[in-house]
Amino acid sequence: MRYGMVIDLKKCVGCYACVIKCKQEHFLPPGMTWAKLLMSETGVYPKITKQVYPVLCNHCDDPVCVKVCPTRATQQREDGIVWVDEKKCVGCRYCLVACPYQVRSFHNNTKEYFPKQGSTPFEELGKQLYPLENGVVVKCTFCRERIDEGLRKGLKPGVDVDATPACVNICPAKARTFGDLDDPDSEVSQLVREKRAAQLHPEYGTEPCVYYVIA
Amino acid sequence: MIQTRSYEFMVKYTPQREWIEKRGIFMWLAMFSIELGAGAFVVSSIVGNTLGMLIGWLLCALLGGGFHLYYLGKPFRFWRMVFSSGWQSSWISRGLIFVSLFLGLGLIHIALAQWASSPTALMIVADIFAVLTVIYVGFVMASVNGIALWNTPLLPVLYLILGIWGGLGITLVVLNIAGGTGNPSLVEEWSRIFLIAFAFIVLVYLLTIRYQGSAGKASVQTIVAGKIAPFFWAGVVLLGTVVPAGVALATWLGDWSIPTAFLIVLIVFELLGDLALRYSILKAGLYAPLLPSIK
Amino acid sequence: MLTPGVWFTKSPWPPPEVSGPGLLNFIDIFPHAGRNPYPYCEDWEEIWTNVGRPYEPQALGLYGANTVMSAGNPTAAEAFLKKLPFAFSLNTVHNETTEGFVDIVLPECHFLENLDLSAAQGFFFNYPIGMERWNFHPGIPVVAPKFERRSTLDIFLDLSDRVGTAVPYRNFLENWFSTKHMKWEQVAAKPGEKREIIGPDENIRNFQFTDRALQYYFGKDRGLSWFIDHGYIGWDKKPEECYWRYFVDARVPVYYEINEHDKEPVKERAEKIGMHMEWDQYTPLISYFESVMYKDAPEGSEFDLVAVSPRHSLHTQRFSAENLWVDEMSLNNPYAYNIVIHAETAKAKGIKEGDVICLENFRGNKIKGKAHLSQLIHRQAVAMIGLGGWAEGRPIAKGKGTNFNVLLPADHRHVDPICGSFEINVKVKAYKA
Repeated sequence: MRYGMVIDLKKCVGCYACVIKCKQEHFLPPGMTWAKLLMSETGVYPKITKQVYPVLCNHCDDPVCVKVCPTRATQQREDGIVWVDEKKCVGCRYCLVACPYQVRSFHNNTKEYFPKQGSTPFEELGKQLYPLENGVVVKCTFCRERIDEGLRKGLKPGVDVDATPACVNICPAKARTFGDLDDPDSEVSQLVREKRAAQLHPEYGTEPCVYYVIA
Repeated sequence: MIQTRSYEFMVKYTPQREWIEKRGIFMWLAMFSIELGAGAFVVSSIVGNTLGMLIGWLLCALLGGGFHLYYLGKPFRFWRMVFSSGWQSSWISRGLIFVSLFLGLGLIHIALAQWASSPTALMIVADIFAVLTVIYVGFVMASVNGIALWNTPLLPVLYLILGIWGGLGITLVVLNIAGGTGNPSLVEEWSRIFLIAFAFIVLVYLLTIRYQGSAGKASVQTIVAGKIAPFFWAGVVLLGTVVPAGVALATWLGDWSIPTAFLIVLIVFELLGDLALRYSILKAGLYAPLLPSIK
Repeated sequence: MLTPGVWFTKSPWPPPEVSGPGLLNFIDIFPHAGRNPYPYCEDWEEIWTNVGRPYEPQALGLYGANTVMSAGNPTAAEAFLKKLPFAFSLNTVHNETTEGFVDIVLPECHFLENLDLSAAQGFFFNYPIGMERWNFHPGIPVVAPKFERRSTLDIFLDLSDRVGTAVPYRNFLENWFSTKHMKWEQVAAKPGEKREIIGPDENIRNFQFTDRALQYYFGKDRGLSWFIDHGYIGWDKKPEECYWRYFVDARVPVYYEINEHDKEPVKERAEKIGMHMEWDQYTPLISYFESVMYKDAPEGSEFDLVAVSPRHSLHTQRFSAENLWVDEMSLNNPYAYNIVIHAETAKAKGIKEGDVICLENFRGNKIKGKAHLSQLIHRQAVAMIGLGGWAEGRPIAKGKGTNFNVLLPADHRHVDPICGSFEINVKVKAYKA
């Protein structure tokens, strides 16, 4: 079992819904995003290509962040999801520095959304439902709480909405597919094969589990 | 080429910030203090100077340790870095074990050397862990394959030379001010040898990285001709290398010895050069853009 | 649930007879103009005086609007609004218009607090194609309104009672929401006509109104309580509903005789009041006419760039700028808050990425913003999505982006003589601020 994602860049419209949904789902503080939308241009007018890449933690199969963590706070589950045990993290940020994809964030003394006005009801709810510890590194978890809860209910991640990462569900263009990369019949595996989906910077040797359909 | 706006993050070469900006400045100071202190201990232990060993130990434990702990998000959990199984793959975990053993054995050695007699074997073992302390930060950084400037086996070698060279400087200052066991001339001679080694290794390091790919080239460009150039040329080259080398050459040619006060100033210059080089390496570390370039 | 071709301005066909002038926005002179930028134009005072000033505007009512920032040139808008004896507005937050020019702001509830039947009505030009099911989804509140905020319909019902338009307003609600007469031009109820949702003098409010409308659409069992439990209702789509244009027996004109018919009456009335426009544009066949901006700043002048204001995927009009998350995304997007200029054009002008630059039009109107150098734009164009703002009531949006509208000359020369469109491109020069 190795959860992964395929993002079809021919469908992605760069609407930022995935980035904002992730923020909302995890009650992230101002300035922190676990997903990002990178935009660049190549070429010279009028022959230009605009590149729009949604990026997130790749939940690599050979993650460098797990290796460098001195306290074993960053761990990899059997299903491939890489997560951080906030109770063990010492905040050295070695994982953050070592990640070649720069998809991690350090959570420390983050401000409220409306300074001097106290927390909003939304932020208060976030502190109850999804508290983030101060002084530790945090990142995308493929919404493991949704996956775990969904599996408990007998749902299938990548198929059933309640067991699938929020960013996959919210995409209006249905550019994201989620599933088991170790299952050759899963939709993600088929997409990787048939559409020749590519990883970002495979030369880093981390075996990312997020693939992109480019052309 | 290099990110200056938030929307250029990982679209252009993106500087490493965590270990040099804002609170990250303490990582820079911690790395310097720890290696300098361990280097001073090694040199002082070889020449038999107890005060030098103690100063090295204090630099490493108090300044180095203090700066490191201050930087951590959860400093009271530092013990986890030693007692988890992180040492199997994490250089920070290994490094903390080296530091802990160095500080423990080193303190015993200092105490015995001061008030009794310390076995040579103890000194050797303490020195081994001191050398490992000097070198481990280089491995911590060299294993970051996302930053071309750091991802080279030359980095631990460079840091070893920096640490020992700095240690020679501290020991020389102690010998000139407080005296004690040890031959200042011999230490001064070795300091000059390490000065040449330092200049050589910096040149080889930068040239190697320069031809290691576009990210490496961008980093070196930043150091020698970009935003960091003033620190590099003024700190590393002028203060850290040219001035001490010039004075050493003048004394060799003119057959005169450097007055103590001037010697101390030169050693301070060398340490500033050390600091400037570490700053440059930390600041100029660049991540390659994530997006594939399209021809 | 929506009638193809329905729009929220006067019906395009048949066009009314040319008449007036008598309306503040001179729409009566221009039968083919749904709307135009008047009265928020620099020459409105002069033209209204030429009309003879039959009356002076006394009161203005705004609904969710920010006239100063969206009506065209802000200076012209402010000049008009300043003279109004009374203005009221329905808004969720304060904006540049309410803070500067409105006497009473009636607080409307947030969309999460609002029971809103009209949220289910789409626009005929962009409702979902494809064979997924139709969905009818009224806005159901998830929290009670805070403070004294009220739903839109309750406010309007209350206002209509107070100002004496209770009967025609209820008539409109009946016609519109029962789909009997979904047009801008309303008709009075016929005597004895059966009322499906609301009677002419009934004192009901939003919840009851919505409940009745939903039962009228979907049956007695599917009123408001059903929708509160289920959220929305869906049903299968038929191709003829989705691709309705194919099934409509319509004729599409290619020769606009009406333009030839209306040219002289329009011209006579407009010229009389000093609106000297390009009457040659009243051609029956579609023709090309060069934009007035090329006359404002001819080729070779120092105003060598065309300023445009494109849409952006992150922003809808201006209200999205007040959303914290959208703001955060915008800060990390190169095109959202910046002035986009071609990289070579910028280099020739000594402008680098991130430089604060000034754009100035031929009248000396200026704006400032940060430059983003791009290849994704014509060498002669500069683009900004056009936000900017200073209202204290919009602290997130305050100071972000650039107010493009400042650059737009607002007078009759810059209004289309047929459809009333405002010329929203302008020649400018760019330089480092």
